[in-house]
Amino acid sequence: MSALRLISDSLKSNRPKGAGSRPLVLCLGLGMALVVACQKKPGEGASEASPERAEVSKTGAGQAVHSGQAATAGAGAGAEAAAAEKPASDSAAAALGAPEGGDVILLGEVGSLTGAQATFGISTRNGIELAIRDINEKGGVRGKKLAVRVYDNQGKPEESANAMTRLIAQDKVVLILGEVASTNSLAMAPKAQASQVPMISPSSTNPKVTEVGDYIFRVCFIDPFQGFVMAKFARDHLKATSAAILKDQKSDYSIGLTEVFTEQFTKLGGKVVSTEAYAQGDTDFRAQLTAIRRTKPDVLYIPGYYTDVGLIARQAKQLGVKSVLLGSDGWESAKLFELGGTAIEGSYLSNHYAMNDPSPAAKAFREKYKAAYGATPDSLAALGYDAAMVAADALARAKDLSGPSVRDAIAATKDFPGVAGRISLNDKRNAVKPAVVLKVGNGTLEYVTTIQPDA
Amino acid sequence: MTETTGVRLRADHVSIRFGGLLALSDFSLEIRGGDLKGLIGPNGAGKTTAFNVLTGVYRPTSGAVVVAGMRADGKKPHQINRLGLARTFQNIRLFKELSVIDNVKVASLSDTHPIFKPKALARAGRLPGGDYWRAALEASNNYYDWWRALLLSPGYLREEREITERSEAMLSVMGLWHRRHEVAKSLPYGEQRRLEIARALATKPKVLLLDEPAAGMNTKEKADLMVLIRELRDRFSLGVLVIEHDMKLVMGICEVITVLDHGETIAVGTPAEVRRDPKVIEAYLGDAFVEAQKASTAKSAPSEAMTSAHPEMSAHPEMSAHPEISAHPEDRSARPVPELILEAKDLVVSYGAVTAVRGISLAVRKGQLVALIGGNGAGKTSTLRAISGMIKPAGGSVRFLGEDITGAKAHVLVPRGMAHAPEGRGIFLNLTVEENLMLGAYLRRDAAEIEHDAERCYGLFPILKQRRRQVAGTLSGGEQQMLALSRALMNRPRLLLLDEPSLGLAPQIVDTIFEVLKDVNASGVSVLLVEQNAHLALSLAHVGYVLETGQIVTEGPGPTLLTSPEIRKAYLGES
Amino acid sequence: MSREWIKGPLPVLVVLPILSVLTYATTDMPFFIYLASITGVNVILAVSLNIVNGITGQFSIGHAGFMAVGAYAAGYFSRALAGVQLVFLPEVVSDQVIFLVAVVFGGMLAALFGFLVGLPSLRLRGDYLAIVTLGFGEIIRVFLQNTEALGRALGLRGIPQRSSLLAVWMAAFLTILVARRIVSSSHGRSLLAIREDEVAAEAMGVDTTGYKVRAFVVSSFFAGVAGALFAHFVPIINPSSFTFVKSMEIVVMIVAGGLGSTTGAVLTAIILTLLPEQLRTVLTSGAEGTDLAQRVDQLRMPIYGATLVALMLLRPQGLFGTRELWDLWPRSQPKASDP
Repeated sequence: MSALRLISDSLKSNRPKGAGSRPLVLCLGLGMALVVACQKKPGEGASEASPERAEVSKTGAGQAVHSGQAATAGAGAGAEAAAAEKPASDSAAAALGAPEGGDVILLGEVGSLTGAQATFGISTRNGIELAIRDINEKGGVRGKKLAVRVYDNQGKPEESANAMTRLIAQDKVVLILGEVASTNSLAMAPKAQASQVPMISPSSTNPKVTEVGDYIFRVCFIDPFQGFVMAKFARDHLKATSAAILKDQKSDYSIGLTEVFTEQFTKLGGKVVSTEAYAQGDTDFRAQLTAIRRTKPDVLYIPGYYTDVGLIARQAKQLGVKSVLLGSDGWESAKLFELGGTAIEGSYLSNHYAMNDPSPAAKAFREKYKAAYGATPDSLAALGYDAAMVAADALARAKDLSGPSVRDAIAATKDFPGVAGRISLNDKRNAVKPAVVLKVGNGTLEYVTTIQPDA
Repeated sequence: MTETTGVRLRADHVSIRFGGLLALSDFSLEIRGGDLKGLIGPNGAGKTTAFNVLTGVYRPTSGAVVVAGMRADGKKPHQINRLGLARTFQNIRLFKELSVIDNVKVASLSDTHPIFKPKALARAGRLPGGDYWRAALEASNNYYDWWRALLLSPGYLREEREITERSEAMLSVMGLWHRRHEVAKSLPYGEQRRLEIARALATKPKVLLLDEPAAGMNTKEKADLMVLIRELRDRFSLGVLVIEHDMKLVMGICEVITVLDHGETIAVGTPAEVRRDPKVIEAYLGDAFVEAQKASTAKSAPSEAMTSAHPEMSAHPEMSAHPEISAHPEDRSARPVPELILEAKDLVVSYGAVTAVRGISLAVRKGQLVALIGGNGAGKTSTLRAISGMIKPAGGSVRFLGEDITGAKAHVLVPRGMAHAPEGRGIFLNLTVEENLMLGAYLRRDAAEIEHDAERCYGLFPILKQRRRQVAGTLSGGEQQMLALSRALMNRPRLLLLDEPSLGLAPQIVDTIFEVLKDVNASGVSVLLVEQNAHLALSLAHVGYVLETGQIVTEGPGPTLLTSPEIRKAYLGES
Repeated sequence: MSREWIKGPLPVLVVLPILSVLTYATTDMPFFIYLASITGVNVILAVSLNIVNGITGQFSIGHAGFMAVGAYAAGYFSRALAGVQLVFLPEVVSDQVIFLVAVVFGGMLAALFGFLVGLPSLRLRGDYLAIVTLGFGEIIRVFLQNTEALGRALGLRGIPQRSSLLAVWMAAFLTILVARRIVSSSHGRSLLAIREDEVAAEAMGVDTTGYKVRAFVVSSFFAGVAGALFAHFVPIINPSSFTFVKSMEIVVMIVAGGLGSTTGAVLTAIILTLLPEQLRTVLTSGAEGTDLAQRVDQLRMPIYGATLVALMLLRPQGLFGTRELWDLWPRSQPKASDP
């Protein structure tokens, strides 16, 4: 009763009836109308919205599925992204009148030249620069010189998208190289896809990157492949029969690798005897390690980052864990030796490229790189070099320099001899290529072997 | 206009305690419409504390404050303002970057037209969970006000026009209308004071509290202010409460005056009653002052020559009439006049528009203890700071040991032998006693001598030796003062500048400090002492200067000055 | 008097068609649109932060946190409704309506966070707000980085790209209009009074806490709106876009423009967003195809930084001080009684 009076009172007392109350009422009305009016778009709604959501909620599983070579999903996601970009694509297509004229073919590159990830960006850029120089010395492509327009993205996704738009709309490049970080590549990929400008990422390993659409490629393997590599190495080279896994339960990367390793190791006749988990940043791993010790595995697989791995190795040694430690490219850092000390020596890890790979191509690359930049190339430089080489190769083979033609040419890349292994692109536009296994020595990583993917 | 007799502000046995300190005890006051009352007291008496309790800055420990019939203690300042209590500030607190009229408009905000009227709010308060309803409605009122401002609703525009009109009318009353679009900080000082009053009045107060409205004004401005305050009181039928240091002003306009000392009300009465009250005289001029004055009036009134007497004029006839004090000036007259240590000529100090020191000349000779006395705001501390280089004088010159040091920075003067122990002690509270002393000797390199001097300081104040490892912040006020004095001595000064060493200390501690000061002086260090406690300072000083509103009104040998009527005038505003 | 109601919406009615034409005219310029959108978002951020830091004189350094709240909230909302169409509307219009709702939703959620953060910290004077907002920004970022549903460090993808030049700049214009109208109202004057002297404002009957909180809520709302718009034209939103560095960029904009000046905030937001792009153009021209072209791009940020240092040395009060463009308009003298 009094509540009613209150409302009526307040309405009466609203003396200066300005425009004030009207929009309020309008907004309320509109809001109600919205609630009533919402319904699914007929037909397309179900197929479009739901796979996307499913993928978000189960990223780890999604990765595992894609990494297994049998293609299942993925096409839907790509098509969807393309559809989402449709309004922009019409306009951007105008920018695509590829610059066939002139004596230079312009490529674009986006990289983190400044900011926290600057070392990645600079290595990659050096690799690309070296490749372009090599190509131009041999006369270029289609009788023209190659040139690369490099834009810095400060390691930020929005800057990547910005640089990408600029490369496509202003500079009208025929092809784009980049980025290292998967997040940045994911910010760039929709732009490339919408404008039908092919993009080759040298070293974004997250499976989602190339799922954006059929113009997005990469010259590195995807994360979960390393799980396969290590499983194979453990079985074939170390002759291990039992394995334990210590995974970082907060990292998609670690979870993905764990699943593939488990699957492959089992398939090859081994047995995963225990799987324990930790969270990035933990400092005490004794409980998990004690549990693992009880099962006496031949190898202990730790697909994590070097920050945690160093500590894990030390504590494993203290607890008397005899198993050989296996890891992934997350281990690669100068800090690893400092954090792990002698405990980490004798372990193995998988990587894209070995600094002391004995193959002649890799050796030649190392020498050229050292002459140009005074440093030993890391895997990012090698992958950058390969990306540019694959691009040049495709441009030479392409029917013309329009987006779709270049795209088709890149997709047809097969057994291309890169410095970081032979590259074939599969139907999901990921590189099928070997990985290297390195052994942790005293302050060095020694090349052990190269593991080829299953055909 | 209607209600002139009802009580508008009442403080009922209000006490407030900060930690162990009873800053205000059993304070009672009543202001009715048309009242004009004053609140005075020496430095640290608790006047500002009383003001802060009344205006809601502090919550009283016990007692009640009632504004316009509503309990106000525990309410926030803005709520108390809405009840009808407005104030001005001692150090003008205008909204400096805003225009004059905007300053007044801010205060006129009380009149808005919210969606939910007070009646609706009250009704909401009675619903189950009423407080939340009420808060929600108040919040919607507040946001609704902004919403209307964003949409420029006609009602809102009308209100803005009303506020503008009322503000302009207020500025007309205060004679500031022609300045309304100027930035507040560009106004001359007197007009800033008036603008602050206009701003306070714009909140439509029932009681106006003025905190030292005459601070920094010249005599003419003060006279105008007195007229203005009376006018406003009549025009708006206000109750007015004034805190003021300028006795002439307070005594001139207030009908009833309350005197505070150490947080206690020591006298309430008309100006004439208060002025005669021995307790008041004691509070202002020191305990023994009353006795000394009685003695002097019993004998002859001081001659005219006295006021212009020069320190060296020891052969003054008056001196012989006081055998007990004429002793040492006469001794000295036999010897040649000691060398000048410090000489200030026509010193002027200004803070922006305010002139604090208006042409002071003084001299300190070797071995002398010179006292600079005067009421609050007379310019004592400013003089000291100008001499020690902490502020730059606006005019005049200072010579130290024969060199012109006008405007020289403090860090240059310290190595030359000038040490300044500032008011409020200025010791390093986070360092130990010993570290504080060592910092006093910062410029010296002779470790053994420093050690020796430190021992001497511990000799002077044995308590410091006990506490040498203690952090200075944990010392009592008196100990801190001792430390400040010791630290100043560590630099082996030729001249020691001391600012209010007795401030806020218990009598025995003051005695201890002054005993030591006497010893130090006797050992050959000249001292320039600023002190509010006139008796204490003058009984010790070879020469005294009495300051009033930035000028020297009288000077002479210390003990002689004690009996001078000029002192009472300077402190208590007699004329 | 009877036509007074038009005063309120008039600026919007003027600007809306202008922006619509501009949007239509630039459909073929994706780079211009992208750059203009980023600039618009920065203008909204700067102007809204200026309400707290410049006008009210508080110091918030967690604006990117509120932007993140808006971006993720609106982005998630839009993505969830990506396949939904309102029955009575054609698809394009329906999409825009949902987009609008998403933006408002993002703003409201940010405003709610603003209220929760502001209420306890604005009761106190001094630097508490700075500390609390700094902490808030980081908490939000860490939360986003560790939440599975929001894509963790990888970020939120697949948000329908429905933003347009019109939407971004209309929002920017509304933000400027709100800031300007608040300042010129009696309520806004109270905010200025708090900036000038909080104690005096309180003594003059201004509910300082209430006003500060309201200013903070309005500011957070627009930060959320900026984030929401951002989420609808950047292909992926990611916790690394909302770091402390972003907050500081906004603070730099308003300090460089002159704390308290909305005009300054707008202009420096535009200049500081476009400057790095412009430098890119300047630096790469004339170095075509050479190694130099690849290296100069790295010089942009040092030059940008040096420009800011130079600006602060030459004009410590910022480009505009506290002045505004509209101060140039002749003051309308209301009739008043002459003294």
